[in-house]
Amino acid sequence: MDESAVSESIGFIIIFSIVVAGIGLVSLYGYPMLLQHQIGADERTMEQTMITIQNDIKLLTYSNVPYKDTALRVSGGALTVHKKADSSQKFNFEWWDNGTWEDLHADFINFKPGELRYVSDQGTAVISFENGAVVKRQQDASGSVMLAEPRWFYDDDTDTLVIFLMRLDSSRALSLNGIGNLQMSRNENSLLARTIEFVDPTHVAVTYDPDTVNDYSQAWKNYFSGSSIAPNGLGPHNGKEYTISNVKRVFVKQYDITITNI
Amino acid sequence: MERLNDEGQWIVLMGFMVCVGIFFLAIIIAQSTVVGQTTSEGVLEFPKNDIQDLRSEMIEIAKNWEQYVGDGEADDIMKDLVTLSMVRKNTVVKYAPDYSSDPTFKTGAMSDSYNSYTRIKIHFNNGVTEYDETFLLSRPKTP
Repeated sequence: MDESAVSESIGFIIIFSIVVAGIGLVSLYGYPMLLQHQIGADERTMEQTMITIQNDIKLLTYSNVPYKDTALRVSGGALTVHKKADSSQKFNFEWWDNGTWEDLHADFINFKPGELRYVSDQGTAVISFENGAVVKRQQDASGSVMLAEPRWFYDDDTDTLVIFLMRLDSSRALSLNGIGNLQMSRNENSLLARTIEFVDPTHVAVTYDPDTVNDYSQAWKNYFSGSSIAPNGLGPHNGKEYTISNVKRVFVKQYDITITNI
Repeated sequence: MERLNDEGQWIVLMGFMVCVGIFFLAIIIAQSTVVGQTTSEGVLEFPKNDIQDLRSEMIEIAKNWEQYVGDGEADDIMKDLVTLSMVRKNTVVKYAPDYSSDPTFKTGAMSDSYNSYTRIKIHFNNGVTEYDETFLLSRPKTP
């Protein structure tokens, strides 16, 4: 008896079910994995983009370039400009005046840096440029990390502490998702450079007040207490957490950067 | 039935090998996003011209140092240099408040039969690069 017709249909059923099972497996496990990978790649690209933006802002500020624009691609989330007036995070600088902490300079009380913030849509990453640093955190976790540091430094040869402050501003609310051109200019008229000289070497304290909904205090803590500013970091003194001792002069320079378009 | 001519089978094998090759290249490209920027920046950021500018200013000042001290201008000149370096170049340079004890410009301390030497110490720090230099500026002795 010839059974070839029966075995052909069974064969077809077997092959067909293998194909369906394959498609099912790919869409059930493979596709989410691909998506996850895509989100990770988007976030990593954005970290890179933020560091590029930081480099551009370095050129704008330290190298006295008046205007800079960068083509960039934001995917998997949105990049928004938070003006200096709207920012809740604050920096404060004080010096130890033989028994009390005094404000370092009237121009830098409650310094609000503004922010360039990327929030991932599907992922949880939030990456920001604030006050010269690139910082990152996860929406569902409390920690944060500094990807690129600002250029504050303490020169122990002359006992000078140099602090650079950068404020971001824009005339209107700006945000970008996709390919765009980030145009930045430095506001020459509002550049502040202040030198504060002390009669005796003293302690200088830095305080970071975080935005409670977007808390980068861990990142700044690591930066202050790490070896970037001074070899031993900024340590506690008389109630302030981040202080540096033996400072004769403080030089503070405040740059204003206007984001004209994005 | 005529036998199948299967001499072209290697094309399939080649196609497979090319696929594997492309796959590995894709992995390498995916890994390479973060590489390469910081090193080149580090080289670009070395402030050679700033240091040279400061050096030439220091030499000019050192040449006329006694005159400046005599006129009482020495302090102001050094302060100007420090302030200008700060504001223009974001740089801390050595500032010596007491010249008698600081060997920044110590004239005549060293000499031989023909020249006297002024020792110039330069300290330069812009947060990325820290640079120290001591050199002797020779001047012929007046007979």
